[in-house]
Amino acid sequence: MKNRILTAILTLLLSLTVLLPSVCYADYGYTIPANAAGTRTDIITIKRPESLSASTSDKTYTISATGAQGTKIKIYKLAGVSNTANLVTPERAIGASGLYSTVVDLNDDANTFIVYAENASGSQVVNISINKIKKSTIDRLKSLTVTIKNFLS
Amino acid sequence: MKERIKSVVLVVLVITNLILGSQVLSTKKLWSGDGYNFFVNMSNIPISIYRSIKQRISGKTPTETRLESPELIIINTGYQTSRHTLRSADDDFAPLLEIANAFLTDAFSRPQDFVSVPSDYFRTALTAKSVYLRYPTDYDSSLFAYLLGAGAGDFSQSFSQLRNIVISADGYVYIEDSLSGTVYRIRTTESTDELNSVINLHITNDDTYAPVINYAFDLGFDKAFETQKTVLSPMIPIYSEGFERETVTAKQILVSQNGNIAETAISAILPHFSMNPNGLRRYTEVDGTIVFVENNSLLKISNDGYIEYQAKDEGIQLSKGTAVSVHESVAAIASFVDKINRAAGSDSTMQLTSKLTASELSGNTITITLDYLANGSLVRLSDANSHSVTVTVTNGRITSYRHLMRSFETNAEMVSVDDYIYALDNAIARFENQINEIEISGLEIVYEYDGSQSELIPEWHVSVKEIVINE
Repeated sequence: MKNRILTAILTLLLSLTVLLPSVCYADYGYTIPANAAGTRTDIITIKRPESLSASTSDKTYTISATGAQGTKIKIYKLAGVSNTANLVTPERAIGASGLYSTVVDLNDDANTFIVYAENASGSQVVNISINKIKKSTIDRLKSLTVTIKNFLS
Repeated sequence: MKERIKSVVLVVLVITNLILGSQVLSTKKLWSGDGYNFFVNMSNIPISIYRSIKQRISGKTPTETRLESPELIIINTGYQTSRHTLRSADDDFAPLLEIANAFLTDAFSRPQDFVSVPSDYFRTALTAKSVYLRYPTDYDSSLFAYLLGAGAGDFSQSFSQLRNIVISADGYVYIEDSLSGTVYRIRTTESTDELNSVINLHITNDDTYAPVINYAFDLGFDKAFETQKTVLSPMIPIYSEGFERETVTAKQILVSQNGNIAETAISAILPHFSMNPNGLRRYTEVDGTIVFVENNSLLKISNDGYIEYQAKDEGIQLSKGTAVSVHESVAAIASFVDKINRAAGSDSTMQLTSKLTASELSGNTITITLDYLANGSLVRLSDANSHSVTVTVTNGRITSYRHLMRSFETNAEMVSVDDYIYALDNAIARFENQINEIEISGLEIVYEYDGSQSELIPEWHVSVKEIVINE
């Protein structure tokens, strides 16, 4: 009888350990599945890139966000064609300013980052795509923009 | 014969003694100009020789306070990764400023050629190859042109005041009117070769630069959105990580450690206030403050190193000539402050810390504040309402002057400066529960000084433009 109660308690504890994170929010460690989803969409606001995708010729990119104080943010980067992203920026909590920014390294061509934010109200996952392109291409695009502006004015 | 010559020499000496002695008693200057005290000049010679040798060894030209000098230059290479900041203590600062000033002098000498452009042109120029100059305060456009040496032109048809300037690698000068936010542009005729070579030099070395520098507008922190309660001024440079900076040592130069007043320095300072050390009434107050009294003025030198001058009549003339313009008066203040510093034995330069817009320049009386620069950063007094120098000029004459006499030396010791975000978080955390919205106008590294500590540590200073408090 004693053993049965002990087994039942252990089973319950094990179930809670396994199921609770997936019911409430998944507390990811060094990796995160590419298809991870959060429980909310209003924990953080990505300020850069505003449209969640951008192109740059730089070797790095600064991702910025705002959120409530105490919100913890981690950044993962999708590794090639795999379905798992690896942690590239360790967890950092947003302070009293509500501002967050971090610099991530870029590979050539496509880079997909997964921003994972969590606080007491739940978790949020945001995917960001950054394309690294050649400087000459950026310059051509910029001169095209200026030409159009000049034409319009 | 020999005795006769001796007698003649003695008579001449006695007569000379009587004449010079009477002139000292009647407070007449024995030598014209600033350095009439011959013996003080003599005692300063070893200092001058030492400075000259020091400058030759270091290869640096003597610095002087320039009111129109930017507090920060950022070289924009077109790559976010290799943006680079320069402060006045950096070796590249002065040569780049010289190049930049050539563009600005050309631009400001043709105020009628500035045209209004969409405000995003300014930010676009910052993301391309360019040089950004941030000035310590807002300047009246015409005064700024005068200080640059471009003549005091008429800017009534363009920007009234300025603080932020961008010079693009293709020779355009962009100026943001700090009152209206409107951006004006002019195409200069200067060759862009030198400017481009400086910018390109920083691209090739881009691997060496850390941290990454973004402007607040790059990161979208200049626009409030939903629950975001902190808004930054768009041009604030945001460093991606903390860095190291030297500590600074502050030195008392008027009072020695054992409390003795440096008489030689005081004798060198007094003539700049039109005071003759030999003909002054002098007494010491209970707290040790030495007071010099002349018929038309009063000068106090306190134990904590403050010089306070108060004119009882029209004051000290700043420039020669009867009708001195406001622009001339302002320009002469920097030189006057430098003279006082040098007379006291300080090599320090200072930075303007009060606004010089049309409203400040409109009356007969102008009050200007300056603070020391140490290792290229501002030395801010702990008392937020105090400044190292406060000078009041009325009709081209100094009527009131207060100067905390110090010299600052950069140490080899480096200390870590936190990431900007911690500085912001700490500043805002003080009001945490009361703030509904806060607008940050400045975020910069300063040395805070309470007037007594000897070692100064670099730290972030957060300037708040506006706070909306919860009711």
